Amino acid sequence: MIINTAWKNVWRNRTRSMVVITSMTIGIFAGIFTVGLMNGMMGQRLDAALNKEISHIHLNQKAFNDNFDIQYTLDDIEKINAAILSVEGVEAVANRVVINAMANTATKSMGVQVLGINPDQEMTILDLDQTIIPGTGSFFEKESRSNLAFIGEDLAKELNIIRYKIEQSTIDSMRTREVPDEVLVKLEPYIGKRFSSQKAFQKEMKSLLSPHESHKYARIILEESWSFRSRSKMTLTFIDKNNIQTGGMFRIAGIYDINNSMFEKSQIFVLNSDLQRLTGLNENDYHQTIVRITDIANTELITESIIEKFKNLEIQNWKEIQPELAMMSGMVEKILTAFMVIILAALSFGIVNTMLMVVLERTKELGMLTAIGMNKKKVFAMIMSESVFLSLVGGVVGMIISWIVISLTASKGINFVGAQEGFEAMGISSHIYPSITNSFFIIVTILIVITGILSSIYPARKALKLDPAEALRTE
Amino acid sequence: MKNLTKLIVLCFLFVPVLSFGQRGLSATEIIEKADDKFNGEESGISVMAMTIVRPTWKRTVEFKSWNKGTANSLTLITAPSREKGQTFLKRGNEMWSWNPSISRLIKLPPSMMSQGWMGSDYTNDDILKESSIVTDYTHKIIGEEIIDGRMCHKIEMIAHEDAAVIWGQQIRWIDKKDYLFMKAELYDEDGYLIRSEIGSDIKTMDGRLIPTRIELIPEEEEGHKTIIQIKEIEFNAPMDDKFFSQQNMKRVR
Repeated sequence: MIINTAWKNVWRNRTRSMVVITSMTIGIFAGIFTVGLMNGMMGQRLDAALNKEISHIHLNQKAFNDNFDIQYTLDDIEKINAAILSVEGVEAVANRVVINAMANTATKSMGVQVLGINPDQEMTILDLDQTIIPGTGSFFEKESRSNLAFIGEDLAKELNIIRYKIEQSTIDSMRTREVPDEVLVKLEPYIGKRFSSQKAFQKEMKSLLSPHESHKYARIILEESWSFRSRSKMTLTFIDKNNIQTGGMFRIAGIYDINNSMFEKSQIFVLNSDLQRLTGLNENDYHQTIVRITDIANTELITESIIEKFKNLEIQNWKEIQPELAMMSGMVEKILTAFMVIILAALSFGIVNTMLMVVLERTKELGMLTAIGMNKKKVFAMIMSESVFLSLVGGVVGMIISWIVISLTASKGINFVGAQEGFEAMGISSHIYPSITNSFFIIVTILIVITGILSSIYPARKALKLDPAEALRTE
Repeated sequence: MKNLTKLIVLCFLFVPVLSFGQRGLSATEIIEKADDKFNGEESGISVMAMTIVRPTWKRTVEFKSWNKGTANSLTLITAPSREKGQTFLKRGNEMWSWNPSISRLIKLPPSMMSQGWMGSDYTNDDILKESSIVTDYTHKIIGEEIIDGRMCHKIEMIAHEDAAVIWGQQIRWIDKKDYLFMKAELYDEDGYLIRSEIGSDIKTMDGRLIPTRIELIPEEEEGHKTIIQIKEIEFNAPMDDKFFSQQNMKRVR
C-alpha cells in the first residue's frame, strides 16, 4: 500500500520528478560510459602487454637484468624448457638471445634491445605476426640471404626507414580521395622531396595549407605520403661474447605496430641464429626463457612452482615485470566504483532538494495522514520509497541507455585520432573498444538504491518532526 | 670517438707520391691508393681545431692528439677551458676517457660512442670504421671534375648488397696527381644526399701535402656543420707503445 502510494506520489508533479530523473539518467549514463571506456582501455592495455609485449613469465640468470651482460646465458636450455612445460597450466615456452645494441642508418642511430628469437617458438607465445603493418613484409616468413630484423613502427620512423615523401603517384591517389585541386597544386612543388620525420612533414604541411584545408586534408596527405622502402637496411653494433665490438647489416623483414611507442622504439626482433653467429654464442646459448600460461588467474601459483624448480635463477611474472599492469588489473574495478560513488553523491543533492520540496509542499497532507493514524514508520517508508523511485527510475533508464551505447560502440570501437600520439606514448591504442561487465551493473543498481535511501533521510526526518495539529492548520 | 684522431690525422692526410700516368689505374685501384695513403702513416702528432656549427650557436674545441698505427691513439682537449685537460685513449677495441675536473677514468661502452664526439656531426660509423671503402663497395669512374683548382677523378661507389654499410652509395672526388680525397658525397639507399665532406686549404705540412680544412655537412639538417682545421702536424715522430697508457692520460700535456 505504502509503495503504491509512493509511486503515485512521484508522478503528482511530473515536471519536477522528470527533472530529477533526467539528471539521474544523464549522470548514470555519463558515469557508466566513461567507466566502459576506461575499462576497455585498461583491458586492451593488459591484453596488448601480455600477448604482444612481455608474455606471462620471464626466466633468466639472476644478474642478467642489471646490465644485460652477454655472458649470463642459461645452462642446459633443453632441460629448463622441459621442466617448465611439466608445470601444470603452462602453455608454451620460448627462448631468446637478448643483447643491447646500437641501430644505425644513414641518418640516425638509436639504442635498442635486440631479441634473438625462433619465430615458430615465439609465435606460440606472442601474437607479433598479427601486428605487421600491411605491405611492410612478414614475420620472418620469407627466407633471405641477409640477416633479417623485425622492427617497430616508431623505430622505423626514427631511423628514417618509414619516411614521408610526395610523388606524382601520391598526388594522383590523393585526387581519387577527393582532395581538391587547389590543395594538390600547393603540394606539387614538393614532388620528390623527402621528409625525415613525421613532425617535420606535419609542420611543413601546416605552414603550407590554410587552417581549414589542413584540418580537412592533413590526415589524408599524411597517410598517402607515408612510404616504406622494402628491404631497407640498418646496421646493428653490439658487443660479442669476448667483449669485442662487432656488428652486422640487417634488412627489414617487417614492421610491427602495437600502439606502444616505448616498446616499438626499443625492441627489435631478429633470428636467434643470426645473433648467435654474429656474437659467437653457441647454438644453445640463450639469455631468457619466456613462458605463456593458460589462465592468468593462476599466475602466482605457477610462478611459485617454477621458482621451486630453479632456485638459482631469476623468475618474474608479468605483475613483477610491469607492476603498473598488476595495479591496473587489480584496482580498476575499485577505482571505477569509487568514481560512480562520487557521481551519485553529487546527484543525491538534487534528490534531497526535491524531496525537501515535496515535504514542505505536503505539510498539510502529511499532518492529515498522521492525524488519521498513519504511524511514523509508514510516513518514513513512504518518503523513502518516493526518493528511491526517483533515483531508481533515472538510474535504470541511464543504465539501459549506456548498455545500448556500449554494445553499439563495442564492436567498432571509438577512434580518438587526434590524441593518438599521447595514447601511444602510454602504450594504449587510440582506438578504444568500450567494455563493461554485467556485475558492474549490479553494483551500480545497489549504489543507486543506497543513494535513494540516504538522500531521503533528511527530508523524511523533517516530515516526522511535523506536529499534526499544527500541520493541519497550515494553508 | 676512439678513432677521432685516426679519422682526422690519417683519414685526410696524404703522402704526395710521384704518380706515373694514372691512365692505367682502375677505379678500385684509385680508391685503394688514396685509402692507403691516409691509412699508411706509422704515427703522428697533430694539433687541430674543430668548429661545430648549429643554427643557433657555434663552438670550437681545440685538441692535440697522438697516434700510432690504427690501434693506438690519445687525444687531449686544450680548449675551451671548461673541457681543457680531458683525454681520450683508444687501445685496440677499447676506449677510455679521463675527466680531470671529477678525477674519473671511465671506460666507454659502445653505446656512448653513438653520439657525435663532443657534439659534432661525426657518427658512429665514422668512428668505428667497421666498413672499408675499398672492399665494401663497387667502384666506377664516372668522369673528371675540377675541385678547388685540382683535376679530380669522380668515382661512384655503390655499396655491396651484404656489406655492413649504412650508405647506399658514395661519390668521391680524388685528386689525379696526389690522390687526395677532395670531396665526398654520401647517399642513402633511396639515393638522397645525406652528407657531404669537403677538403680544402691544401698545404704542405711536415713535408706532406694534405687538405688542412675539412668540412662535414649533414645535408638534411639545415644549418648544421662541423669544420676541422689542422693547425700543426708532425709525422712519424718516434713514440713508445707505453705512451698510450692510462697513467699517461692523466699526465699528458
